[in-house]
This record gives sequence, structure tokens and C-alpha cells, in this order.
Amino acid sequence: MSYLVEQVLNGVSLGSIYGLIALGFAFVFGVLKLLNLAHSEVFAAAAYLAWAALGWLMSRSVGTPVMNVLLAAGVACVGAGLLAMLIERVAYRPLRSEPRIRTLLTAIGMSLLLQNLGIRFLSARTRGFAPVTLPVSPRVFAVMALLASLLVVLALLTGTKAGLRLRAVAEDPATSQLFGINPNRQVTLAFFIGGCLAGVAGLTWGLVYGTVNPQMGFHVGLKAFIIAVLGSIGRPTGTVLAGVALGIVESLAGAYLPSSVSSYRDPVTLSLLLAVMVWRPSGLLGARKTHRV
Amino acid sequence: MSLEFVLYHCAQLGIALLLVQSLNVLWRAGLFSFGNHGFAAIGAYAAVIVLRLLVEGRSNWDLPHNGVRVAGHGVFLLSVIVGVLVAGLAGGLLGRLLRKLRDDYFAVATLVFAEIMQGIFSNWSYVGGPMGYEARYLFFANDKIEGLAYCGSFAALLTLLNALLYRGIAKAERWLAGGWVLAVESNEQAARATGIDVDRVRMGVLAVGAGIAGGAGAIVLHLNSMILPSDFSFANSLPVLVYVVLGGLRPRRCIVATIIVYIVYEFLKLRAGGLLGATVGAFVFQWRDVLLAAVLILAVVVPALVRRRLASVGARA
Repeated sequence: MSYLVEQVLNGVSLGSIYGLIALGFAFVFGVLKLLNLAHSEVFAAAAYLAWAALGWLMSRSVGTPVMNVLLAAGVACVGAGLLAMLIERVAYRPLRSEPRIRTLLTAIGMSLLLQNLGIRFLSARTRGFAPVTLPVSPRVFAVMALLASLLVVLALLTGTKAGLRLRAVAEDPATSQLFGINPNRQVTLAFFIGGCLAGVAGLTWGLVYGTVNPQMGFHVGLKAFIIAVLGSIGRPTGTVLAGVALGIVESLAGAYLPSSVSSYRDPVTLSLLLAVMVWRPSGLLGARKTHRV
Repeated sequence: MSLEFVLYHCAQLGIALLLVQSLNVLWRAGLFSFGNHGFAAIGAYAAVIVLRLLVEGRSNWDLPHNGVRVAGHGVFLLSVIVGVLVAGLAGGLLGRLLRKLRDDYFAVATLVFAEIMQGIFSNWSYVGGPMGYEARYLFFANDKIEGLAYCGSFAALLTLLNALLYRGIAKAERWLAGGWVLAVESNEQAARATGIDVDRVRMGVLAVGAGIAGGAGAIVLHLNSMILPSDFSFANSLPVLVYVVLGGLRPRRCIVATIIVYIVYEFLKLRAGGLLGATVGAFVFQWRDVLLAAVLILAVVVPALVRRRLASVGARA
């Protein structure tokens, strides 16, 4: 029983990371109706920023471990947010009035560009995160980070003028422009917030799994994207729940499947996600309003 | 630079052209698939299974290098045909499965499918697993001109295949089925209203495109005598994406773009015989994937910026 509970907890922490990345996907899609496939590389870049910042802070014993983690989170969030804004400016804004496939192509190009730049500058080898002793275990930290991020996102969207403007642009960009809202600025803000969420996810991944490498983003990002679909794009709560559910399924599959089959964990997980994508493209909870996929 | 080297690269270029034509068939029909590397993998590994069933374990497995082996030709042809058919079947089934998805969702679903295929082949020990598969027999061998005959045969075969495919696709566009495809691509709802079975058309196009990619994958196995699961990764499909984007989805332009970019890249890799120096060649070789990704982005963004500029100039006029 305790083994089962442990695997479920492992799954919850993995799912928390998926949920954080998926939130970033869902945030940008909600505003721009754009699948930002480069988001997975923003997550990987954020993990590297967190690795570098935490390593520097811990080596110089700047503050307490908690303070160092929070500072590293700040660095990762701001860095990832700025990177996401740069990606939007370079790869997406010029194509705002173009067919969607062109935006998808630049998204893929940007994803591969960042991945390969990471390999060239940082080498493909896996790096270890600086060991940190926190008052809570990394798994609990992951869940806390997810809940905190979800609360911040919900508060931002429902309780601030910035959130109101974001929702207005998401609902109807043309009409919101008539009311004096600059859609470009809101889109940039959405990308920044999505990048910040990726920053939290990157730091959390490093603390939970202790390693980073330039190619970590692709498969994790692919799963997170489908989780965003699964959880009904545009509904943060649904996205988070879907992420945690997938994390638990993946963890239990890895623990209880026979060893001859457990190496197929990734293809099986992706197949399940693909099946849901085909069966319910609007998500398990259904979209807020009907939209063509 | 020997003749064998040139012929080997002609053969590699022929493979790239097959993959470009495969992607072109799909994209011109409005099926923006990013899973072509998955179909190539299916074709290649189907060919591996044919080799394992028909050739391995037989007494004549190690064919002596002293002449043409008809058995080698027969197994080669059979494995490629099986690769084409299995990949085509997979493409058709995928088309049926994804019939409700469009645009971004369809594209990502095909990408996920390809990653599933790569995950399966990477772990399947029968086809070599992560270590890949080495085909230790030769399609054609001769003691005196082994490499030359080998590369030359593949170069000739692939040139012929590409020419026939290009011609075949151009003719097919004038058939009734070709008209259906163009109708579905330009306006799906109108096509449906005129009685065209859109789902079946999409399935058919995906089957054809996947079959071509599968054939390319099967031929790669024989050309290189070895395949690895990583040969069919998404990152390795980047050059093909670049070629198709540079060609603007027009078949002839895609072929020209493929030939030019491939030759320029290989020329720079050779350090241009001292013209440009070793530094440029080494830089291009090491930063190839970064450069290709940058070219992909620029090839999409720059024309869009130009169109926007022209539109604003036109509006002012």
C-alpha cells in the first residue's frame, strides 16, 4: 500500500510539472488561438537558467536555501518570460494575419533552433542541479508551486484590469481594440506570463529530478500540449487536473507494468493522449464555447 | 572527390527528393502533416522485418562478392514494396483516425504519431532496438567496382523513381481524384456540398504520401546498410521541411530548392576546395541544424513581412 501511495505522490509531482507547462500553453492559446510549440524549449531554457542561478547562489552561500530557490525562481521566470516575448516578436507577430500553418512552421523552427542552440552552446550532456535542502520535499514543492501558480493565474485573470484586458482580447480582438486596448501589448503580456509559468516548471523539474539537458523540453512539451487539449484549452483548472491525472497514470504504469513493457511507457502515454485528442478534441470537460479545431 | 562520392550523394539527394515529394503531396492537399519521419520509419522497419524473415538464418546469408545476386535484387524489391504498402496502410488508417482534426491539431497529432512510432521501434528488440539494424547483405556487388556500382545503381534508381513520381503526381492532378483533392484543399465545405467524400479523399492522400515516405525509408536501409531509430527523429526531418518551405509548396520549386540547398551545404562541407577555407566549412557542418532552423523561420517570416509592406504601400497608393 505504501508503495502505491508513493507512486501516486510521484505521479502528482510529475503531473504538477506537466500542469505548469500546460498552463503556459493554454494561456497563450486562450489569447491568441495559437499553439506555441516553442513553449517546450522555453521550459528547457528556464530549467537551465534555474540551474545556473541556483548553482551560483549555492556555491557562494548567498542566503538560506529557501531564499536561493526563490531567487532562482525569479531569475528563471523573468528570463523565460523575456525569451517567450522575444519568440513572439520574432516568429509570431509578423504572421498574425497569415494562415495558421505558417505560424506552426515558425513555431517548429523556433523550437528546433532553441534546441540546437542549447546543444551547441551548452553541450548535449546532462547537468546536475545543485543539491538543495528545503523545509519540504521536492515533490511537495512541485505541488505547492503548481497550486500557487494556478491561484496567481486565476487571480490575475479575474481580479485585475490586466486580466480583464487579456480576456477581452481573447474574446474579441477587434472589438477590444475599439475600446482602446492594444492587442499586441496583451499578446506580449500573455507570452510573458506563459514564459513565467514555464520558468516555475523548469525550476521545479530541476529540484524534483535533479538534472537538465537541452533536449528535455520536446517530449515533455508534447505531453503538456496534449494535456492542455485534454483539460479543455482555456480552462486553467481543467488543465491542471488533466496534468496531475496524466502524471499519476504515467507513474503507476512505470511502477506496475512488467519490465519488458515498461520501456514502452512513453509510446503508451502518447497513444492514450492521442486517443483522447481524437475522441474529445475540445477536451474532457468541453470547451467554454464551440470552436473549430 | 571521387565518382563514387558524387554518386553516393546523388543517391542521398534522391532520398531527400522522395521525402520532399511525399510531404508536398500532403501539404498541397491541405494536410499539414509533421509526421513524415514516422512513415519513413514504418517503411524502413517493415523492410527490416522482410530481411529478417527471408534472408537471416539462410545458408547464403553472407553473399560472396563476385557477381550479381538475383536473390539480392528480389529481396530488395520485395522489402521496398512491403515498406511502401505498410507505410501507406498506416497513413490511410491515420487519416481515418484523424478525420475530425484540422490545421494545428492535425499537425500536432501527426507529430505525436511519429513520436509513438519512434518510441516503439527504439524499444523493439526484434528490429534492433536502440542499436538499430545492420543489413549485412548487398543489393549488388562486384569485386572490382563494388562501391561505384552500388552507389551508381541507387543514384540511377532514385533518379528514375523521382522522375516517375513527379510525372505521376502532375498527371494525377488532372484526373478526377486529383480534382477532388484540389477541391477539398481549396474549400472543404463546398467540396462536401458537391458530394465529395472529404474523409476518404484525406485518407487517400495520406496513404499516398505515407507510402512514398515509407519507400524512401526502406531504400535508406539498403543504401546505408544500416538504420538507427534516431535516423527518423523529428530533428532529422528539419531539412525536408526547409526544402518544402523554400519551394513554396510548388513541386518543381521544391525540387529545385532541395537540389540547390543540398549541393550548397555539401559544397561548403567540403570547404570548397580552399576557396572559402576550412573555417567556413567547419562552421556550416557544426552549425547545420541551427542554420536550417533559422532558414526555416526566415523563409516564412520574411515573405510575410514583404507582403505586409507591399499591402500597406498599396493601401496608401
